[in-house]
Amino acid sequence: MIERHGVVVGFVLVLLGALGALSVAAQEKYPSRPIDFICTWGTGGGADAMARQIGSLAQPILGVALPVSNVPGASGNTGMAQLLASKPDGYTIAVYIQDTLMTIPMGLARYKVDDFEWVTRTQVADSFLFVKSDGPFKTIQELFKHAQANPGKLRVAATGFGTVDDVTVRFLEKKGYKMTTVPYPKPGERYAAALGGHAEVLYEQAGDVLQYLKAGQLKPLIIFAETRHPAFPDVPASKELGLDITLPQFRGIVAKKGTPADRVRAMADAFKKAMDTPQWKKFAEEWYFAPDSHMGPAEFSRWAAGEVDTLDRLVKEFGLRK
Amino acid sequence: MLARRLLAPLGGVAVAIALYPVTWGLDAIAREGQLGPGFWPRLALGGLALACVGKMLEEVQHLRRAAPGARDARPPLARGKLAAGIAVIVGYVLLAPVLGFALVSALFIAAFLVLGGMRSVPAIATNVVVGVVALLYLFVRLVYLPLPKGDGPFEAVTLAFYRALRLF
Amino acid sequence: MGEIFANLGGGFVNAFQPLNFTMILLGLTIGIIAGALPGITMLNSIVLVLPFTYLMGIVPALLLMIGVYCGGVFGGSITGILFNIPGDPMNVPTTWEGYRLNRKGQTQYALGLAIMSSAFGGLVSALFLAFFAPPFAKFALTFSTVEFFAVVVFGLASVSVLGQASMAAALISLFAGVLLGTVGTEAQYGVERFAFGVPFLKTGVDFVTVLIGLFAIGEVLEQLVVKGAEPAPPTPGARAIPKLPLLALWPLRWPLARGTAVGIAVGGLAGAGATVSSFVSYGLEKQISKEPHLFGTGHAGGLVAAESSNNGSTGGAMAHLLTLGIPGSAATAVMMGAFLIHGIQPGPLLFTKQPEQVYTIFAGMILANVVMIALGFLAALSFTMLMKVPAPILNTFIVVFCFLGAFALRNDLADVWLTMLFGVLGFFMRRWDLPIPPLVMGIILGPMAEQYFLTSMVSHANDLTVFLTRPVSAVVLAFSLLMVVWPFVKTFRARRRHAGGR
Repeated sequence: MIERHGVVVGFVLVLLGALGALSVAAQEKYPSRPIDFICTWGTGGGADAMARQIGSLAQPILGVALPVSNVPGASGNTGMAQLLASKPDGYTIAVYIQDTLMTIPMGLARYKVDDFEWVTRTQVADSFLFVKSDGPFKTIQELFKHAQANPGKLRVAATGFGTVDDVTVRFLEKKGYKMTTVPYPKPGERYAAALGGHAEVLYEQAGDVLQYLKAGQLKPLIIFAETRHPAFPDVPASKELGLDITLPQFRGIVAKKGTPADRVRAMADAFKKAMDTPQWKKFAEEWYFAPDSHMGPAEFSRWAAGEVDTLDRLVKEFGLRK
Repeated sequence: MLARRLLAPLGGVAVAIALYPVTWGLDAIAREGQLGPGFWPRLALGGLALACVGKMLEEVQHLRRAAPGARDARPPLARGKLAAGIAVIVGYVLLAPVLGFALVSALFIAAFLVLGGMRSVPAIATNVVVGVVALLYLFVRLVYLPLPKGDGPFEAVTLAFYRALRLF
Repeated sequence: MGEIFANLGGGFVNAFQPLNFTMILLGLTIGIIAGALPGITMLNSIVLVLPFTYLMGIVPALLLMIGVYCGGVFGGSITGILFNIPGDPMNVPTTWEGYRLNRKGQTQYALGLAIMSSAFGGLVSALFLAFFAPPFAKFALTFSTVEFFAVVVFGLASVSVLGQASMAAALISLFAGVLLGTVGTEAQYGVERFAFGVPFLKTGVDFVTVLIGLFAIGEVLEQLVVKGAEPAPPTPGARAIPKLPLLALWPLRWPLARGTAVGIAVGGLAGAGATVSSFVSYGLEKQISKEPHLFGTGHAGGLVAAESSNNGSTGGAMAHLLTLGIPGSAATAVMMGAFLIHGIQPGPLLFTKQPEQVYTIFAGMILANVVMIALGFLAALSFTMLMKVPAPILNTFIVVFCFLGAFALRNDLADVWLTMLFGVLGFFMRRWDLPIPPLVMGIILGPMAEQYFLTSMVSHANDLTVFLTRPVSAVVLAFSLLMVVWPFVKTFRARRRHAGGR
């Protein structure tokens, strides 16, 4: 009996060894198997939409699937922990967005900008302040005047304290327009609060609330950007009002540091091609991405480092980190 | 006897008291005039401590009314089997990142079947093979779950196994 | 009204098209099986079918997901009734009554009740959705975190009616659950709580890991090591065919109606999904029932209320998604994802611009709940046969499915670790007479309560009276208080009567 077991075990080991040898030979080409694509946010949001969109567009280009796995939590850092625990072999990549970047200066992240290969920046979109269309505020001046007269009474629905949204609200407070940040971590709750009048103001990017804009339920009062957006010619840019704060929401794709350069290049090229497809163009237009959204690896990593410096300065200025 | 019945809730109180100071540090980040992230945990800890005290009172009262020991009749416990069961389950998760899901599941299924009292080698082998192959088809091929592939040589084995099954 | 009928008629024509109808059937089948499998939840399966929907048009995609949703919300009750392992969190209250009924030899009756009340709740809810979605959604927007908090508190308060031997033990369990819910990254500030530098605690404790650990793994360990544990229920054998109690539902019409109403309200207004509504409905039912002492011993009314309520929530949650574009539950959030992939943002415009699609979805949902009776029946039948599979095989694969289900939550082994640890804990909780359900409720409802409470506080300048000045919240909170205090009042009065009689 025991001998028979021994034979079985031996046979299995030989088989496994043979399979192992075979696989090494088969591993030369990249990519030769599905690339795990970590989305650091839950399903049904902008980051998820982006990941699934570019994942399915890049699939025919790379010749392998890029199945999206949602790993939400800790402003995206749960997924980052998973990426950093994986092997830098180009078979694990992740979504990286502005809100996650903010956790670096806030001291909530356990990595540095240098711990990633910044593969591609897929989108940049400016943020707005929205109010209910049938509400009392028609222009940004009216809103600011009300905020000045009733400091802290107006409520701004935002993702959380110590986020980019919050920094903008704090910046406005410093300029004399004091409003209260009310954290609604789930996007749906944020929009419901604004639509139901439980928060007077909503900080968001236009693409995320497109439905309510088209249906005439919400309207933008200000865009936090250097210039006005062509789709909203009547909405003043923060710069022209003398408010020097532009923290555009960006989303991109990163890999772990140490991923072979040729593999990063292969991915970046595929994503570039995916972003040139009409499907992506349509997607980008609907979500109001800036036309110059795309950045390749070198450019993206420089830009991300610069962004962290800016955020770091703002965090210190407003004493957000304690 | 009473002492033993009081020990567990007392432990609960101790845990609550020990964790309480942790919540103070949390409020450092709180915005001025707002309840900080420490507020809710404090509420939970307070509730836990109170409930434990309530449990202790209940035990004392119970002891005064009823004869002690009467409610301690329990079905006997196979301690060795319990330890083995827990070890096998923990081993399953512990070894998953090393061996990869396919291999570790095969080992687990065999081990847990033996533990459950199955002795027939062909029956175990059938369960292992059919189970693992069916699960892989379902969860890797059909719906792609990024299940652990294992480390070093085992990753190569997993990948080869997947390719042999035409999963990739 | 006439226009709605016409639209709905068109919707039915579309829903009956071969592809669409196949998707409904396929979705229901996947949902019921996945929901029933211990470890694999409805949410798992709806996320896992998402990639397949890229390949279809939005209507078949949505119908597939709706099938999974409606079937999944019901499926977990099958394994709950048969094995005392609820497949999904929303089937936990169903399990409390259903498993007891099973032990009493009324397996078929319990399964039949679960099927019929699920179908009834889902059907009424879908019809409600078809006719009243837009005004209902508008009304839903008037609810804020203040009201949500009150509803969640009501759910938490219903612990006091669960009927454990020891109230203190139930509360220990409840607060332990609430405490566990605070572990991980906090939502407002993003700081870590009680993680102590352990990476996988940083992620927080997903309540599904607690649920499948405590119930499924705990039960497996129990069966493995306890000699002479409860003898297996008499195998139903030849009479294994579930009964579909059509007429038997009549005496249960009120629990059924209440459960469905609570489901629609909680699913649609509070946007809290199936789990909260089944807990709330069960608590309410016991409060209203004339025979509360029979709850927990296999009470048909409790089962019906819980099971009609979790399916009743589906229409409410869909109304939220389709008319406002706001997912009110985790499942509808995944459907939102499907919309976005297809380049459609659900919301006010969907309703006015693409009524054809919307009404096909409504019709599909109505159909799904009718077809569910047949498919649920078949599934119950097959799972009853599973009871004949030798226990070692069953137990082994339950653990494997728990591994997969926990992993699929966030594609992370951390969740698998937690599941297995909670499994061991669940085993010992049983031995220490600590009831498991309050812990599950604490960890599901605790984090919701915290967030709604804190947001309300920030939003209303830390003025606690807001919970009493807003009428809905005041009423619900008063009910919650009554529910907690009532048992004490009753014992007190009974004791006095006793004393007076002597």
